[in-house]
Amino acid sequence: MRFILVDEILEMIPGKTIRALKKISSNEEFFSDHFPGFPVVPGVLLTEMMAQTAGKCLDAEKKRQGKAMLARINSANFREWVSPDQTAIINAEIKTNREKFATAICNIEVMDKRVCSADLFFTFVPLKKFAPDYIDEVLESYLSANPLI
Amino acid sequence: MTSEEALTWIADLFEESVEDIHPETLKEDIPAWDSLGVLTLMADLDENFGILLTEEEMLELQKVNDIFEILRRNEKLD
Repeated sequence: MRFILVDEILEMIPGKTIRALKKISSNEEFFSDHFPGFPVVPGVLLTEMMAQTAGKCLDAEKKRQGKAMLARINSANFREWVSPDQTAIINAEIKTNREKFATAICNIEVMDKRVCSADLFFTFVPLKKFAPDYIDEVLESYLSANPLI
Repeated sequence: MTSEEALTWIADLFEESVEDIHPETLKEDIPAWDSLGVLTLMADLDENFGILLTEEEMLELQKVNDIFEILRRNEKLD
């Protein structure tokens, strides 16, 4: 499976807040195992959606020389099941933003109802560790459409 | 914050039982006090106590009592 769990950034203030969207297709392979007859998105994937979203908000800061990577889940709560064909709205607010680490308070809403939340801790990995041609297409697409941010 | 509360906070932070750590416990005897642990400690001091330390200052910490000293210096420990 691909591991891009954010389709589109809806709005963002780099290093501060972000709102993004993920449409959850009923064709996702994991639904056949999780679970037969009761397909729901695994909590670990909801957490990753929040981490990727907050990470993009941190990566959008031009001053940064490293990519934000999830290092610790300080807390996570799952309140509602998320089913196939639903659309997740993913919110993140960067709580602390330092050179070596950052923390973010995140949540996901489905049909205006909060389904989960998490407090996540990030560290930064030098960009030179990644493939030279690696780009975050979702982030670049948003930044291209919003060049003034 | 009392010494007991500080010890509980440090134990939680490094996922240790509070009975297993005391002021003289060495960094090397706390497995979670590794490179990620250093950053986690920095973040907690920052967010919970408004104490900003450099990574170099953090690396000088060698035992639990050194964390107590930082809290004392910043008037966060009774």
